[in-house]
Amino acid sequence: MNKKGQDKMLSMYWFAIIFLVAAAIVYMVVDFYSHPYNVRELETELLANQVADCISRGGKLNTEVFSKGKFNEEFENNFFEVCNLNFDSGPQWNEEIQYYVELDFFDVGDVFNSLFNLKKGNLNLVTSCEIKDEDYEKLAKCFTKRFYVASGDRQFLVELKSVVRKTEKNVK
Amino acid sequence: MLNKFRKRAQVGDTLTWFVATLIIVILLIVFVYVASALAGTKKVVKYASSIDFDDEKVELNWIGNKTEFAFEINFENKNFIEAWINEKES
Repeated sequence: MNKKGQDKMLSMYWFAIIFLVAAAIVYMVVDFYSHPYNVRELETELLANQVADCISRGGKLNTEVFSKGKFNEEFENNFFEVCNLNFDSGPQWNEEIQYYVELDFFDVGDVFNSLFNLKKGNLNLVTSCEIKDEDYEKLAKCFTKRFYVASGDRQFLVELKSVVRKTEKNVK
Repeated sequence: MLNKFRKRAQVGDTLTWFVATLIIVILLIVFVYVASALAGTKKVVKYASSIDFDDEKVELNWIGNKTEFAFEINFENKNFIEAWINEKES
């Protein structure tokens, strides 16, 4: 092969290599940024914080929940307004709710029988909470926390559970 | 004789370029693999659990603080309440 032909061959080779490298870079960038951030664990915690904030203000039980010596049944109906929450998940999930919140109030003297129980959102998501295996990334994420609230002389123990699904937006 | 040497040089050249290409391709495959592995682990688990405040580390526990505030109002059965709360966390 003469010198001219050799040069031509070499520049074709370099073009091929440059194209290969560029294609690989584009693939890497697209692949990296196409994976969503999985923020569901954080979201469950934020949801629990919001509900806890709504129930306990400075350690005192909200009067919307408990007043005049009894639990206010209306709180269950007004939960979203009182706690400034919105469980609308949008058309992506065919309006299927992607959140769940459960509250249990116990008396200090009896921690086995709930005095007041509140369940809001999609109850089907709770089954995911039983499975602890990290491999099941597509299941809903759960967060459970216990805390104590006072209301005058009365003492209440609260168990709060929050669940977030939203798998399609958080896991690929 | 000259032709034989030229042919041997050409084979050597081709082999060099072939090895170079192979190294580039292997490197690219490694980079692509690492990029996909890193992309798969983008999990945001928790925000800071403590903050540095005046050379002191202050633990952040949003819900836990509610219990502390409640004890300021009524601290009866404190040990029992703390045990009940920790029972779930342990």
